[in-house]
Amino acid sequence: MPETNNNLTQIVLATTFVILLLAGFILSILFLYRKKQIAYLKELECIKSEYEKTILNTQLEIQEQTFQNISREIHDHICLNLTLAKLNLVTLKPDDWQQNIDRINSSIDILSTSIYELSDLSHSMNPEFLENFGLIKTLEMETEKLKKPGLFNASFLLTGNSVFMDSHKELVIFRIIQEAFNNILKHASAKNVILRLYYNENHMEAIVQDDGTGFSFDQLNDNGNLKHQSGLVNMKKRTKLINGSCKINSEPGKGTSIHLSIPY
Amino acid sequence: MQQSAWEIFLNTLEKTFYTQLPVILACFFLLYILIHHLRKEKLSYLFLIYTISCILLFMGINIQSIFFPATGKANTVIGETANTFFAIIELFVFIAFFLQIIESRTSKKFLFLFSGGFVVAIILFFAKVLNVSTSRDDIMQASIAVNILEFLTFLIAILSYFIELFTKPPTQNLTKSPAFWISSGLFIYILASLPLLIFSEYIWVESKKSYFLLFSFHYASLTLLFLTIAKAFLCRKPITT
Repeated sequence: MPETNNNLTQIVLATTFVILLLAGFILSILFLYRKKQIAYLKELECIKSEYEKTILNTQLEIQEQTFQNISREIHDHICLNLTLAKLNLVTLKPDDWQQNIDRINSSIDILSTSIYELSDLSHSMNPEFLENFGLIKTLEMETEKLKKPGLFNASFLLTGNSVFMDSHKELVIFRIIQEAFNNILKHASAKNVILRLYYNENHMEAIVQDDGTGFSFDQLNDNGNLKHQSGLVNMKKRTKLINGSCKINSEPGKGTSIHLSIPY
Repeated sequence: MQQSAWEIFLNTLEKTFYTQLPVILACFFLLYILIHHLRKEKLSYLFLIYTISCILLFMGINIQSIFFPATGKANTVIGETANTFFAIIELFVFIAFFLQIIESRTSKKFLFLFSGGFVVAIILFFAKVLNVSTSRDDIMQASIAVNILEFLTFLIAILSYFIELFTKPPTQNLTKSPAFWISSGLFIYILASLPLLIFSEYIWVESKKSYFLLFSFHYASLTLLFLTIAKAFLCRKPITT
């Protein structure tokens, strides 16, 4: 009898120990999972703040570049023109009326050009223009502006049915294409420029292609051409902000093509 | 002196240290929770069937032992057949549950493999039951094989679930996860009952009291299983989260 009681006690103790062990196992799973969860949430927070920092930096860079562009435009064209106009008016001679008339007319022309360029700059910086006319119309107008100096042929091709996208996305697309056009004007020495827009089922593609001098990324680095390089980098960053992709292909002597792909 | 029905019933309860009572209470509690929190998920209905079949099994076994007592092989056949039918329902319900929470294809293949083994064991069991010349011991062994295969299938499913829990991003609150509660309850139930299953024949011969004591632990872990299933349904989330 005592032996049986001993056996029973042993069985009770053993089984209780096993059940407690199992309960301990479950509790340890809960504890380890919670620990892993805390570490994971911390990591997520870090990634989120890094991402927000990157976005903020990108936006600041873009803003900085925009201010630089405006400053350059004003300095290179408008300031120069106004200085010329002023010079014309300052050097008027009281006794040479014919020359004065010519100089006054020239100043009027220069001032008209400056007013037109200022107005153009203002429109191109103002997003309301895009909201009022839509992306396609605005791009058509930008392409027409590109043709005006008569330096090259510019054409705009549209494929597919246009889809109205978020106004912020359309603005970013417009700014990138505008930047591409500015680069072509300043650096490409191109004869032909084509802007193609494709509206597909899930995404939109925009291709800006020129047959200019082209460049190599190594060349940009060697020449210390940081402004141009940062402009291209900013294009890619802007596209990433709207969940798109931007591929820039260029070879010296073979022109440049910029391929944007933006989901709706 | 012939015992009354009530005395036989109390005797049966006493053998397993009255641990059958918490099982029955837990069953009814789970039934109440399931009816009150019945959702449009198929699994809710499956667990309802499982609970009702458990209640019927307990009631049936007790009614049979009180009013229609059988001895020897007949008693074994009745008990083990009822147990096997319950095991079939149990396997079906929990496999349906685990197939929805486990994502790994390999684990699901293993589940199907072991379920196939279980089906073979069931067929063999019923073949032995229907064969008049089969001994009581053979029927017991066939029943034990059925239960062991069932528990091994559950063990694989539970381990797969816990492995996936730690390999996926830890975004859940486990204490509010119905799947965690059911898996944990089933895990404790299996590991508390497996030794009894494997060594039942040996322990029955050595010491009947030890056998009933281990059986009482089996009932205690079964009570815990029903309570964790009830807790799972009290979490206001789909049962497979």
